[in-house]
Amino acid sequence: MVLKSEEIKDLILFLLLVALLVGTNIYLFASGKLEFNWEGIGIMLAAGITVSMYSFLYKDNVLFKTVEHLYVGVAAGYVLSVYWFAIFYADLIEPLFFPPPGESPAWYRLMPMLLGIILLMRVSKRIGWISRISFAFIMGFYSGIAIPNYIQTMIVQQLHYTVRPLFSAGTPFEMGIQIAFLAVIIIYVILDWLWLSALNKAWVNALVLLPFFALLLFGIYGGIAGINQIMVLVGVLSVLVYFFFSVEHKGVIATTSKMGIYFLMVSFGASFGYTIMARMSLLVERLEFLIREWLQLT
Amino acid sequence: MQRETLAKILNLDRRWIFLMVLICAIGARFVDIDMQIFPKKTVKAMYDSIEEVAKNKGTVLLSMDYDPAAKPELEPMSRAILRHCFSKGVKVIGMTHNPHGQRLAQTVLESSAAEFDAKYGEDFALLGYKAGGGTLVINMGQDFRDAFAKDFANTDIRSLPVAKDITSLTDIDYVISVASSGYWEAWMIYGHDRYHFKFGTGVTGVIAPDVFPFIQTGQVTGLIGGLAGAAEYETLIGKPGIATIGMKPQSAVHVLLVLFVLFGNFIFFWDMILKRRQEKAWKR
Repeated sequence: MVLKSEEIKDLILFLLLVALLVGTNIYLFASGKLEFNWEGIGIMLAAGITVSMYSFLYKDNVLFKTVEHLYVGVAAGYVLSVYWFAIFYADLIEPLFFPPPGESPAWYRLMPMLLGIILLMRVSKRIGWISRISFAFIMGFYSGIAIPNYIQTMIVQQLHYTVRPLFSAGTPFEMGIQIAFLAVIIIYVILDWLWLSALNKAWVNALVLLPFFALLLFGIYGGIAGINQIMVLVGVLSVLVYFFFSVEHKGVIATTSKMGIYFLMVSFGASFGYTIMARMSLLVERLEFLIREWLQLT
Repeated sequence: MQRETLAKILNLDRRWIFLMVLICAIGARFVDIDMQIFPKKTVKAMYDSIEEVAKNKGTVLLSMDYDPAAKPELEPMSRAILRHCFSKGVKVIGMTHNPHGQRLAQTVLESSAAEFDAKYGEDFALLGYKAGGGTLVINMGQDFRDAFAKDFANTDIRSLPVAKDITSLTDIDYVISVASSGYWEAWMIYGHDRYHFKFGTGVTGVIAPDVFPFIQTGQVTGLIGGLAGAAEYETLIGKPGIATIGMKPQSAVHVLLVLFVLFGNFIFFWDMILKRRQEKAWKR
């Protein structure tokens, strides 16, 4: 078998990685930094698995594949044991066959047990149809539980906040800022409808939006609560208009829809930023484990 | 710079970027910079809520609904909340909706309790894992003991002083869900909005933006978002921990990413300008 230069390079790197891992662990155990007990072996294994997982960032390799399968197997086995002790034994077997002294067996639990067994019949082609009974029960039950609660929490409560008084009581100066803010938004919508959208120059758009951003920042950092309320109302309405496709997006509708896009872009940007922070946090913690607990550099 | 060079930069092998991020994260870990952390209002709201519970010598239910994949972000905040509770004498009842999280919940609860000599049964208890999600929350609201007759060690909860007087979720002063997926929603939809207890949540950075609308409506009182939120909470309680240590590499990597974005945009627009010049030259 003749290896290409790229494959030879990858093989050398792989062997170097394995040698580095083995060598580092031998040094840590020999120097006493890691104790040769279950905890020390656990730290060594965790560090090895971490480095193997990250080796995928260079290229897929046999180490990564091994630990990936190991992870899936261990997770499945662990969850099975939790399900057995926390659910099957605690909620089914114990109440049925080993009830507390003075209590009768909880025979009513046989019904959900039966529904669960029927659900598993799905795997059979011949009698799989019987699982529809359990599915119907699950769909009906969860629809009844979820729909009214979701509507109350996600829609009614949110609507309640959206329709608060637009101009909150404050000093005449604060009221003036709020009115100016709303006026700037209305002026922008009219300008965009009549002139800006035809002009189609981003820098002119940005120039016209300057007073909007100036007032927004002033309102936020100046603690003017009404600015937030106006933003909520304008944002909700413009985003709803963007998703309303029963009317052609022309004129004022087009402008309002474009504002909705800006709000969506800001929210997606914020979500993306938070997501990046979350992913970096995972890297940071793993590195902290390797530095502090494995290599014990701090 | 020629367009060929720009094209090479734009098509740079991503592994070089990974390497730069790794070097930046490791290097920042060892740089001695005193970073100031400014807690957000939402984090302060959770802190104030626990302070209020402490004044009334109340009970907090901490639902640690995360698995090992979210442990880096969520365990520091769980630990910070528990340290706050135990330092103020607040009783804690722990539980989890996530089957992978039972051992994680046990570890963080016991290790935090040990720092303050809190006693199991008197100062804290761990109910363990139960399936059900939203239906479990409803069950706990209707009859707490029917949902959890025993704790994770199979002890009757009526024999635990910390939990013996709890018959429903309405008896809990503050419920906190530290969640990696939709469990916080289940607590809010099926718990807070039905039984009207005070509710706060700690979530991963990915989920945090989804929670903000519910803070504005008052459905969620207190939010800790990601590792940064955990660092802010550690600052509030005056006990810097893993989250605070992680802020230096986190911030360094963020700065690096901003530089990458700026550099990438600069190269992109420069390439666009060169391309237009080339096309104009060809047309002549």
